[in-house]
Amino acid sequence: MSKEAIVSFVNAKKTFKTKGKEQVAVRDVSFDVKEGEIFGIVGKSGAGKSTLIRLINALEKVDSGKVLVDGKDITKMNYSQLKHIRKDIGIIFQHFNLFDSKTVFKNVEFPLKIQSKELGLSDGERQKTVLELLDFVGLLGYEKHYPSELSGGQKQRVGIARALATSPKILLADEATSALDPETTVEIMRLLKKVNKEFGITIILITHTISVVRLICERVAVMSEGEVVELDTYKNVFKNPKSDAAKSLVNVFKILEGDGSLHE
Amino acid sequence: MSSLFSAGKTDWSIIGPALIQAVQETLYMVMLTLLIGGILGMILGCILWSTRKGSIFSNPALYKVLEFIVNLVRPIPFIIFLSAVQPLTITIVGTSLGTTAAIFPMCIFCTMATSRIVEQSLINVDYGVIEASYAMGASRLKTLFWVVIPEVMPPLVLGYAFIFIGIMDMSAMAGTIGGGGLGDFAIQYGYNKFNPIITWISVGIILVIVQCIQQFANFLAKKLLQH
Repeated sequence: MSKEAIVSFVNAKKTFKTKGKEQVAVRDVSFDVKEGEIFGIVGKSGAGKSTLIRLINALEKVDSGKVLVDGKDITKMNYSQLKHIRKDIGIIFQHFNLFDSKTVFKNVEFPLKIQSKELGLSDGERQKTVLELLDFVGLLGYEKHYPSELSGGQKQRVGIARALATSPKILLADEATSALDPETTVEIMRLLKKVNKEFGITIILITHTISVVRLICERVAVMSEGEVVELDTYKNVFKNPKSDAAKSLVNVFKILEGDGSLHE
Repeated sequence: MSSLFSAGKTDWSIIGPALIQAVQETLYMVMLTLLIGGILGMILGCILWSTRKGSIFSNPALYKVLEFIVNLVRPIPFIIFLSAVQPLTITIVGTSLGTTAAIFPMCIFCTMATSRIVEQSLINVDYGVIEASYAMGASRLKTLFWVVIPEVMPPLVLGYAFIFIGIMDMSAMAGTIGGGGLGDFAIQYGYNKFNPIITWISVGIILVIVQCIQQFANFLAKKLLQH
């Protein structure tokens, strides 16, 4: 059973210029993410993960190379084409990035309003969609609440509902649980698993800890200094890490999870 | 027998109607300036913010030019600015005297001050929400109007209250070019006629107006901040 690639990086490269200095964020990256899988990108802070994930919805643009989403090269799109394809790519963030001035309902409704021409929903249908999404993430009854009245986990649930509003094919998770406690992390990961199973949405998540990858990812790419240094199933990477970066991540994970200790 | 308080005669049959007219003139000048200067300042402030380097319409050259103009006008004492732009006022308004003529320089000054306050408020918006808006397919303009501005409504409301007090201040000075209003009234009937009671009445009315606006703004900002 070979699945089609839904996201492909082809020699993608991205450099930032800050104060005259060039800093390579993504250095010649090529790999595919297959439709329907939960794919993890793991690496230390500054490894280029955040930039890489932003290349998928063109929040960042490549300097050279290609990024194919559903077979279409996103790097060559104009605004209206981008708007169209962004309907198919949801994203959730580490700090949720909810609109504080809008209620939970309005937050989830926002993408539906932005994409109203594409979706062609009536007011009633829009309202129904929002309520269904809130029900899905377990926040029915919170429509009139403001983000500041919610816990971190609840905020991320709103973020997920908002990201799913336009029925995307891909969900990007940018360190989605890094600001949450372990218990809430598990809850959110469970919800993402449900998103993947029930809707068949491809999930690409980035994280700096292997424990998050272990929870739900099938395959994982290990990033270091802008490059993908290892790409395999989670099991293989965990059992037999080949690159230094992967070894280090697995090692740290083992220390933190109880196999090791810093006590003398 | 002459004490400070009886130095000027308080003839209410003359002063009463003059006071009412002064209040009307002040409100006319202030409200019109707040409306015109407030809207133009909002637009200029949004342009300033969005043309900053790295912002949504990043255009450092345009930003530098606009910033230069704003910084050029703002430090000029208003009373000097008033006479400096007189030729321009005559060209545009047709006269340099009277309440309507006073509004022109007030609007320019108000636009500049408001633009800075709007820009400063917008700067505080977290880039994350802008990114989120883009990711959902919103254009840059929609992001500005649907996300960025609503996010800063509470500080904007307080900023406009601050601007309002500044305009009250300007309106008093505009009295010197025949703009009328409470400032002019206080000088003419109070200061010039050695009648401090009149001055105090003017001060009292100005304080009441300012307090009303400030309290209303506080209430509104609090209401908006509740979330």
